[in-house]
This record gives sequence, C-alpha cells and structure tokens, in this order.
Amino acid sequence: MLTDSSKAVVALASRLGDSRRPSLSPTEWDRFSAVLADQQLDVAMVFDDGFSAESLPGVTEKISAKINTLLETAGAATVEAADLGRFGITTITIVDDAYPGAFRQRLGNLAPPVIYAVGNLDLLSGDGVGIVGSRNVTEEGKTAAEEMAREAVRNGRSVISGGARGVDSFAMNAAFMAGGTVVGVLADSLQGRIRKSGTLQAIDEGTVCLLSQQIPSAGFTPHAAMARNKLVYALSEVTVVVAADHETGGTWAGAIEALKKHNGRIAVWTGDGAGPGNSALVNIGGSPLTSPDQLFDAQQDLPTEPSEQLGLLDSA
Amino acid sequence: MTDSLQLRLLHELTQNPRATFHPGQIEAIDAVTRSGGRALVVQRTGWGKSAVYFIATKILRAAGTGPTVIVSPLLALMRNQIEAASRLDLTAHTVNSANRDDWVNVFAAIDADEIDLLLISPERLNNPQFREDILPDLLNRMGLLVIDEAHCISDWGHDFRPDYRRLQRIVEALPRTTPVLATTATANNRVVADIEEQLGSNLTVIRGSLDRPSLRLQVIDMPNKADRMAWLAKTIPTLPGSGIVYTLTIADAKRVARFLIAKGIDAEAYTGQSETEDRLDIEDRLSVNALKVVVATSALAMGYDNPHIQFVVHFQVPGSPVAYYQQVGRAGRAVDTAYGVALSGAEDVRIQDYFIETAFPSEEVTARILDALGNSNGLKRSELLEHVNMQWSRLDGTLKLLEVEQAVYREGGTFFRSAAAWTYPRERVESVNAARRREQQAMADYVTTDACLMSFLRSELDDPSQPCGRCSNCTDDPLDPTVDPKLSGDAHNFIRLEPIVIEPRKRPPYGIDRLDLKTHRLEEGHALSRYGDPGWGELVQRGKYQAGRFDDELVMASAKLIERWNPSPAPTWLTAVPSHRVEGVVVDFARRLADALGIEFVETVERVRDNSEQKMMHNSYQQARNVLDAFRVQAARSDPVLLIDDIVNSRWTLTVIGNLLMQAGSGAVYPFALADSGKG
Ligand SMILES: [Zn+2]
Repeated sequence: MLTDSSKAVVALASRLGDSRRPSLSPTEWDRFSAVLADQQLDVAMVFDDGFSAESLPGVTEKISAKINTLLETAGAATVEAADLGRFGITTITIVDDAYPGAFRQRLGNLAPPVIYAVGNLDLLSGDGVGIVGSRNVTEEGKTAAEEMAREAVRNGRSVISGGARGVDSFAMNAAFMAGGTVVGVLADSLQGRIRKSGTLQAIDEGTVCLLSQQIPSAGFTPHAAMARNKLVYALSEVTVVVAADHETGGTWAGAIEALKKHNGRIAVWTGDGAGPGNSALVNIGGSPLTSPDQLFDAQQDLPTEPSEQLGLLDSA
Repeated sequence: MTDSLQLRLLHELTQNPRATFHPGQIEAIDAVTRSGGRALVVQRTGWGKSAVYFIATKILRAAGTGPTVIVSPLLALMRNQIEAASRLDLTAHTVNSANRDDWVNVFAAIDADEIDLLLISPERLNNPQFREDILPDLLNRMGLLVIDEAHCISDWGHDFRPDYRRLQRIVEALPRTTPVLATTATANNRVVADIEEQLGSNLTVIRGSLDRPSLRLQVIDMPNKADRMAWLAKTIPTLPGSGIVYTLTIADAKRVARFLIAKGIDAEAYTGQSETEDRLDIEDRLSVNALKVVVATSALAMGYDNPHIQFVVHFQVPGSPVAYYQQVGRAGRAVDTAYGVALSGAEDVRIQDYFIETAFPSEEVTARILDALGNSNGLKRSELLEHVNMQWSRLDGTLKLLEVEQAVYREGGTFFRSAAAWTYPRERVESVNAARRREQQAMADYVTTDACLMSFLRSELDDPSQPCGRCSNCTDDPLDPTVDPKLSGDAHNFIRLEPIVIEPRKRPPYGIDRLDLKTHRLEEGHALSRYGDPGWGELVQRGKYQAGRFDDELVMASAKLIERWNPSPAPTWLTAVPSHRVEGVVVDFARRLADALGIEFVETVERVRDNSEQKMMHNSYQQARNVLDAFRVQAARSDPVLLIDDIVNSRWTLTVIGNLLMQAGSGAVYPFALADSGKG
C-alpha cells in the first residue's frame, strides 16, 4: 500500500496515469526534495489544503508551475500505481523502505524517484554481481558469462543483469541452473516480460526480481537502455563487463559512463571470449579479470577511483 | 438568526421552508466538504442520505471542485436521483450499460465541467472503455466520492461484491485530498469496523436507530411450498397497498408470480435475469402503486427507494438477519402500518446451504486455474474451460474473485496469471463461512423465538431496543396463518403442471446490430421437458441421438401442452428449425405435431450454412453470430405461427429464425421446443 509520501512522489515524478505527464526529472525531483529536507517537511504536504510550491524558498518558478500542473493529475497517477498490483507489479518510490539504498548513494541526483518491480524484492537489498555484455557474443564469451554467473552463485551473490539477449541471458540462465538468484533490470516493458511462463515460474519460486524505472507499459528506447545500465552498475558490488564492442554499442557506452561517474567497481574480462572493446576499457580504468575466481579474491584491489585516461576520453 | 447555507439548500431541495436537518446530516455534510474528509453514514433507508450528498455537492461545486461521483448498484436509485438533483439545479448524469450510445456526450460534458453528479455502477469501474477513456480524468477532478451500499465492501457482509473491492482500492490509492462519503442502511458492528479499516482512520461515523415503527413482523412456519403459495393468494388481496414477495431462487420468483397472476392478482416477477427495461418498468409501476405485488429475488433488495411499500413477505427465509432486515425494511417508510412476514419453508436451509457453500470457489479449482494460466501465455475463457471442468458461470465467478485478489488479470478477453505470489486465503474463507453459519443459525432462531421479533433483528444489527409492541410475538392480532385447502390443492396442481417457459430475448448481444428485437421479437413460448430429466426429457435425448425419430408419445404430450397453453392469437400454421445432424428429425416431428394439432406444416426455414452446434458456443455473442448467417426464410404466411425446435438452449437459434420469419411477413411467432437444456 502506498503511503501519503509515496503517493506524492508518484504524483510528481512518474508518468503513471498519462504517459505525457510532464513529470519532474530525477534532478528536478532531487532539487525539490532537498528544499523540503532543508525545511524538515514531508513531501506528503503537497496534498495539504492550501499547499503552494511557490511559497517554498528555493523552488524555481518553473518547478513550482510544473508541480501545480502535476498535482492536477495526481489522482490518475496514484490510482494507476496501485492498479499495477493487478499485474503483481509493486511501485517503489525513493521515500520507501524497499527502495534500494545503493541507487540513492551511487546515483545521487540521478537516482530514479520511482521504480517498478516484481518478484522477490528482498534480492534488491542483497549482494549481487553485475554481469553485462553485448547481445552478440562468441561461444567463448558465452562460456565466460556462464562461469562468472556460477562463481557469483557459489559465493552467495545474486546475478544482476539487463535481461537482454546475449551475455545478459546467458548469465541469468546459468545462475538459475546453478540454483542461484537473479535480479533483472529491464529497459522496457515489465508488463510484457511477466507474460512469459518461465518468468512466472521463477517468480513463484522466489528466485528472481525484475525491476525497471520505465513505466510498465513502456516500450524500448535507447535512452531507457542507458538508464537501465546505470541501475545495473549502481546495484552491483562489482560489475563484470564480459564483452564490449569498441567505441560503439550499449555495453561500451554503459561501461564508459560507469567508469566516468565512479558508479561502482568495474571488472573487465580479458580471458577467452573478451569483446573487441574490452582492452580499451581496461586502459580507461576497468580492472582486468583473467579468471572467474579472481572476482572475489581480487575484489579488494579493484579500483574505486577513475584512472587518468578518463580525461582524455572526455575531450574526444 | 439567519439560516446557514446548508439549511437554505435543504429548504430548496425539499421545497419546504420549514424543513430541518435530521441528527447527523449536518455533521456528515461538514465532514465531506472538507479536503480529505471521510464519513460513513449508517442510517435506515429514507433517513435522507441523498440530501447529504446533494447539499455537499452544491457547496463543493460552488468552491470550484470537480463533479461528485456516486457509485451505486441500483438502477432505480440512479433515475430517482437525477430527478431529485435537478431541484438544487444540479446536473446529474449516469453512465451505464443501457446508455452506451450516450457515453461520448457524457464524457464531453464532464470534460467541459458541465456535470455536477455522475452516477455509475461499481461494474463500470472495471469496464475497459470506461477505465481508459474517462476514469483517469474523473480520478483527477472528482470533488467527492460517494459509495452507496457501502456494506458491499466488506466480505463479512452478506452481500460482498468483488467490484467493490476495486472501489476500495481506488479510495486507498487516491491522494488523501478527495472527500469520501460511504452510506449504508444495513451494517452490524463488524461490518462497520471493516469499512472503517478500509476507508481510513479519520472516518466520521454517523449511525442512527434502525427502528421502523410502522412495521409489524410475523413468522409463519409453513413447510409445504403449495401451502405457502396458497397463503399468498389468499392473503395478498386482503393487504393494503402494494408490496414485495421475496424468494430465494429465480425459479420460485417466476413460479409464484405466475400462480398469483393465475389467481387474478396483479403480480410480476423481478429477478437478476429480467431485462433491464422490464425491471425499470416494474419499479415504475410499483412506485405508483400500479402493481399489487412484485415477486422478486434479492435483485430488488438494495435501496429500492419506494416509501409506500406496505408489505414484504418472504416466501423462503434468507440465511442472514442483516439480509432479512434489509429486505423487510423496504416496507413501511411512509405509511402507518406495514407487514413483514417470513414464511418458513422446508427447503430454506438447503438453499441457504447452497449459497454458503458456493460463496467461495474451492482451493482446488483456483489452483487448477492458476496452474493453467501460469503454464501458458494467457488463455481465453473458452480455453480455460478445457482445463477446468466447471460451469461457465462458476468459472466467471472464480475468475472475478481471482482478479479481485490480484492473482489474475485480464486484457481483452484473455486472462493472465499475475506476477504476485498468491495463496488461497483458507483462514479467511473459513472464518467468513463460520460467520455465515452463525447468521444462518440466528435466522433459525428468529423463526422459533418467542421474543420480540423486531428487537431480535435489531440486536443482530447491534442496535439494541425494547420490545416493539407490534410484532406477532408482542401482540395477539397477527395475519391469519391458516391456508385454504382448495387454494392449496390448486397450487399443488399448478406446480405439477407447470410449463417450462421460453422467454423471448429482447436485446441483441453487444456488437451485433443487425438483429432488430424491438419490432421483431418472439412471443413467450414453451418447452415440453427439461433435457435429460426422467420421462420426456430422456425420451427426447433418445430420439435425437439414438432412435433418429421422436416417439409418438412426445407428439401427443406436445399437442396436449399446446392446447392447454392456448396462445392467443392462435397460430394457424407451424414450421420447424431444420435439424443439424440427424436429417429431418425435427421436420418429421413437426409434421406429426401439425397433424395432431390440425394445423398446416409449412417447410420454409432453410439451413444455408452448416454452422457449429450451438451448445459448443460459450456466450451470447458467439451463439448469435453462429446462427446469424446460417438460416434463410423463403416466404411466410401472414398468420401467427408455431416455430418448432427439438432442444432450446441459448434461445438464439429461435430468436434469429423468429426474426427472419417476421421480416418475411409472418404474424406472431410462438417458439416451442421438446426440451430445454437450460443454460440460457
Ligand atoms: Zn415485538
């Protein structure tokens, strides 16, 4: 059940009820919630009689106008959030206990104010290894992804991945086969994904959690895929890039962004099946990984600070 | 002292400058005209709940809020309300299944902020078109939400309705700003507590006495059904004004109504199967006392708002004191004396048991449905039927419950397993069942108690009181409980010889516009037997599937039935539905029947397409579609005609052919079938 505060977040920062709502972006939300925090106010106050965003110091005219417009369509948004329950989808807002703390800590003002999830929500607060890579991967790359997943399961970690074809699916399936758990961070329709009977079965067994920051009826967009990558890195104690293309593709772009923004620890596979972009990622600061069992042995040594090359790339 | 705004509005509404508020009304108005205010009003029908939401709406609209949305399961209420609202210059509209053509206009009017009150049924909230086109806008702008018959929210109540669970979810999910007013006439402490829990803690509860000082309650133990019919036939003409007879089953409602009509009493049957227009017509005639008695199932129970009802007789005793009080409380609102008689029959407990036992689907059935859905990528109803061997209507009920429980969801006609874990709520089902059993026992006690009947019922509703001094246990002058033996014999014969009626379909299924059933509608018809029943029913089965010929005994019995039925104007010719599988079997029967009746057989209906067997079709739309292009009528004589079929099921075959006959110029069409397989 949504609290008054979570309803307020839904009303202000989601596109539920009408996908054309001019919802607050993560950074706009962050600024607004900082104002509230300064004044020690709860966001539920937006529903108070006589609330006016204009009267809050530090809220720009643009934001307050947006908030007033958004409040006019609050009812449809909050009711749709609750209605998602009929698909088994839970709406989690940034003010809820179930919201993954890692998003707030690592993504800062880019943390999505509202996410949607199905399945075993406890997995969101557990430890996990991110495994990412391109859709088209060699047989050796597939094996590497699978071994990485098995290694994660052996060490009691969930496998966190994007739920796309290629590396994502190989890693997730290997984790299931090894009796492990999986967190799938999706770029597109949660609603479509839960139609698959395999997914339903895993949900039933409590071995999977699927999450997305896109409204559950949304389709795929490249922008959503990038946003999704950010969440994978943020949620993982370490993320392994199994195979990336060089200077192209979502895996490359996602890894570069994570390195640049210090979004978690990043290991890059350099054994058989590594992608053409992998060695470049190591040069930019990713930690090389030649054997799956180094994943946990070497974890202490993985860099948390970006290397100097990042500056070069920025100007490129 | 100047009158308050509220009081001035009350005077306007009642058109009485001296009217004053009942205790509680002003508190309720104040509660729901505040942002986020929530009130529950438990007051008997006639207390003035509508004055509360009319006046609140007037005040809220003046303050610039959006329309009030009233959710009510009552057709009659909707019409009365629209009329009453106009006295306060409030524009009220309704959106229901009967005015679909109007929806676009209503939506536009809401959009233009021209509607003050919108009345909808709880089913509307789950209608896909409504849900997508209008609900979001309404949720955003709604100034006040009124939940009528709010006890339906509680599954502890006798009348829990799944659609109300969705309503409750909406209330729970809305920003706390929207005021909510819940109203009911019948709720005991437990139901009130349940509603409080579901509507939030800051609820103002306004609860009044449920006494009905005009009502004289009486119980008569009369095990035999024919005796009870005889008692009704003797007693009703002696009672003042109009009233209602409640039965527990649809079949009994129709049977009792027919018998009373046969005894010269102005009666009508009113059930969940009655067409909407008939129901409205009956409600109209009852409200102007143009009808002596309506024999109804609980379809007429809630909130039927007629202050002049002077008697309510129960042909069978319902299984819950709350349900009973709600129905008997229809009587005596605006009259000095009214009668509330419970006739206790031998079959009561068996029927009550059936309702209790079928209230929840079994764990096993829900598991099978969920398994089937979980192992597929969605299934249609008809596909689900292959996985679970259950009746159409039971499957529907189970799916509805699983939807409410959020274990399954539907898109278009396809059902999907939701991604939520779900376990059968065994404990809750058991405790609700136990509560129903206690209520059943309370009604058994009501029938035998020596104590005041009114006090007994009111204490069951947690509204304790002194003895009423009017009921059959408090006084010595109740209605005569004896039965006229001659009438009782008549009733006995009536039951034995009862025809099986084929009621004309009056409305094409949604989506099929080609069928004009307004001008080209069947007359009422008859069936000889129930398919598969011992006797004729078996004989029909054998004739159709084994012998390939219907026995002469069936011809004689049919001829006899038609002579007794004696439709008027009398049919002068007879035609048949060409049979499907066995060549000519119906035509052969129809020829012999025509001979026996001494009228002419004319073979004029032609099968032009080999459609699937009707019984394979699972719903009205499929059934009507399936026959629509399958037949042609060459020419028809202009006289009334008997239309013969072997087995009637959905009635769409007869309806479509009747329609074709009339288009070809025939007179009235009387359907007749050898057997009714009884699903439609
Ligand atoms: Zn009494």
